[in-house]
Amino acid sequence: MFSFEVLFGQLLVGAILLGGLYALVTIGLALIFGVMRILNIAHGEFIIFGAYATYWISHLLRFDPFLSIVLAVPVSGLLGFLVNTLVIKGLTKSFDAPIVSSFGLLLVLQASMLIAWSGDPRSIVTPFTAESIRLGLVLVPIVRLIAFVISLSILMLLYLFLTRTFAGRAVRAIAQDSEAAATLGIPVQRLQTFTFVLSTCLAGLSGGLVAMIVSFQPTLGPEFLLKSFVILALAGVGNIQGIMAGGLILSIAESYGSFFLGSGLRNVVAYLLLIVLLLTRPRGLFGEKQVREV
Amino acid sequence: MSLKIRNLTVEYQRDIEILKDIFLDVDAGCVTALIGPNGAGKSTLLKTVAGLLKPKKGEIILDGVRIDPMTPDERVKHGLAVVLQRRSVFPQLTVRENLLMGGWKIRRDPHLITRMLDRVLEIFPDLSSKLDEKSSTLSGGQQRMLEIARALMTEPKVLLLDEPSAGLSPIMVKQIYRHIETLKKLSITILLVDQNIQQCLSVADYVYVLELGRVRGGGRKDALESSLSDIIRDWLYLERGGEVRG
Amino acid sequence: MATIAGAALFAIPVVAGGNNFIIALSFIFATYTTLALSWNIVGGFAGQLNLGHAAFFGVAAYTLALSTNAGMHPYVGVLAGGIAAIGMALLMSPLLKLRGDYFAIGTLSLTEAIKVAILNVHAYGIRLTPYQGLSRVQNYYFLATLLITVCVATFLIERSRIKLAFVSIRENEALASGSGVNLVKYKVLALVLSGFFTGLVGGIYGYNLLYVPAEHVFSIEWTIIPLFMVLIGGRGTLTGPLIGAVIYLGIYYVLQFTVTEISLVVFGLVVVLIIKFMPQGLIETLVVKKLGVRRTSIV
Repeated sequence: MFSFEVLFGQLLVGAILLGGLYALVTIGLALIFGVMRILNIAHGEFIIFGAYATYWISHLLRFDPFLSIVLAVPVSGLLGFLVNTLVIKGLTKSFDAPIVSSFGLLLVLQASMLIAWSGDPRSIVTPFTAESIRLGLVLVPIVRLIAFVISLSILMLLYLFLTRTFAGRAVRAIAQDSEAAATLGIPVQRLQTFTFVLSTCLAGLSGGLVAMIVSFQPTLGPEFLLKSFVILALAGVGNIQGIMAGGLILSIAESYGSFFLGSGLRNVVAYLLLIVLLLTRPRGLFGEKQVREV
Repeated sequence: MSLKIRNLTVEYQRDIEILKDIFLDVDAGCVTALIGPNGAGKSTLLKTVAGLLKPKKGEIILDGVRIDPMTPDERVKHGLAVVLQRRSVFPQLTVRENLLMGGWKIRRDPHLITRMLDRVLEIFPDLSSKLDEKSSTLSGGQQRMLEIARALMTEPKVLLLDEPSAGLSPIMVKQIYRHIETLKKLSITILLVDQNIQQCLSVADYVYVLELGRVRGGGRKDALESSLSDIIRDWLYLERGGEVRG
Repeated sequence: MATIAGAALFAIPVVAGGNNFIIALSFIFATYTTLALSWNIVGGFAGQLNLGHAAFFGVAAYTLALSTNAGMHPYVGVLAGGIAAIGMALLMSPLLKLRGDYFAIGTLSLTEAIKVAILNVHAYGIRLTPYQGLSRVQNYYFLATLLITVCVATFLIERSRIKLAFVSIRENEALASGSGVNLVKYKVLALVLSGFFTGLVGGIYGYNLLYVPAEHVFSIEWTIIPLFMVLIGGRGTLTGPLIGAVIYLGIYYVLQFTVTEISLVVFGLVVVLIIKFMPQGLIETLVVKKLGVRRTSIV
């Protein structure tokens, strides 16, 4: 019998697992925004690209899905590098040049993927796609568990990188004051490129994980972008723990929201949450200082 | 290490010249003070030398090497360092981490870093007790010292100081200038800009006056001793909007 | 020159004779252009990047659909649609206090949310019963009049104090506010004007199509294509969006008037390139800088 406790336990566990993946999805966006002050609207497209890269690598080369994800990461990074060199670098910070530019990028990437691979939904099948294991009273889908573990590990590695290595701290320094960083000999532009590529690698990785859990198509990008926005609004750009918490909160809100309101409105929860957050957070979406020091 | 500035012209948004044909020699191992009324372009000059602003034309030569085509971080490699006018500590990083960032150049050598850290903390002992605190918790004066200490971590041959005493209490101002005296003893070439004329002149070897984007005169401080009061008078006159001939 | 263009606009159905394809094409084109001009009020003059423009369009189309099916004359329904769009603009207005990027995200999300919400209720859209005695050609003339009206309105705005207020907000809000410009009043005004005109277009478009599905009328293309036109041509002018519209038509023509994914790629590329190399738009860069044409104001 499905008692309320079990159902809520089930929903909760599912939400927690998904929350980890959401955090991974968001972290790339946060990095770019923090370090380069650019809101990469095409972020979702990089995630989907990662999904496709994984899909094709595993299909064409007949590799194990997880190995494919590993290989898809540098491929995504390469795309990120190209985009950064051709589009992002040397962009005037005037008006909304970065956001409009990334908007154009969104169009190019999404449409290209539609042309190349059509709009048919795809997903990656693994040996344990349909399998779950029992943890107490709760049924846990194995793929989600693996995605969660991988996400958490990567987030921890990232945390260590940002807090324990010179390069990581330099990246944080650039995010806090890029001019001062330059005056200390830190190669700001090089590290910004690095951050961008790192971000797209992370996006690609999360795309691969997503591909194992849901079916995807080229038009799915903006949905992930939206979720990332919500999480950043909840968390502020500053820290990884905040983003993890944000991912959790969103995931829980979505799970319970769609349970009670019907799955069609699952995303509406996210949209409305975003708008509410936008309006109520006095320090702006990402908790940054509104006025930058001149 | 000397710094030579030749024919430097810096524009603001096309057609508005902030600096015009600047010709300046900063002698090795000496403190050169740049004084002048607000808006004269002193900060602009320092920022341009540091590489944060692009000049329309002109050359900047650091110990015989032309650094004007270089990016700011490249200039640091050649021995240039700058302490900006505005607050520029990394607020979310600890004092130690701030200092470590200054050690970017030497990051691959942990021993060297520790040595530099020790040396810098010798000069700024007040920072030792705050090493693991977030730099945003420091007072204005302490942050200023952190900024100078951090710049010192890059082992500069030429140091640009933009209004180091701005906004600080008189006690802190004296402390900062005591530190500048110490830096002088380390044979670091210093180009100093400050509104605090008295302190500025007390520590300077050379003095130049900048007004409306041009160098209006100056030279060795002792040679100018007699006309120093004239210079100050002129400067005060300029502050009030007058014009100086010659 | 304006009168020639205007006359040409009206002459098209006559020239086209009975060719429905050309009329339909002109209809779409005029729709986009009017949308571009109305987006320009908020995005060009006032500098607020409204990515939820489609909401005005969709809400008006829906209002039109509901009112026509209830028996009202469609052109009255169009007006109703315009008013509904004003309502939408007012609903959106709290978002105006957000800074650039965030306003963009907020408006985008709001429009998407509304779209999804409506899709949940009306998955298959609303079919319209056509009103007796109104032909496609008449619809077109209605739209053409609308386009001219918006052109005139933009022209008037350009010459008025309102433009100064808008532009000062765009350039530097803090400064504008300090100089006594009522930020709220002017931002909302821009949004409402933009919404109203867009709503009118949405209404007539919906009627012309005789079918109003949520996915289509709230689609992001009603935001992207006008945005594209304004960016390419130049913000904050009357000629800017018009030039952008002509260029858009040109690209469309080259792509053989088919809306495929390739056209999206091309548009995306053009946006990226223009922003990178000519961030002020074609007008600014070519006309002002290269030909040295002096503008009369610092705008």
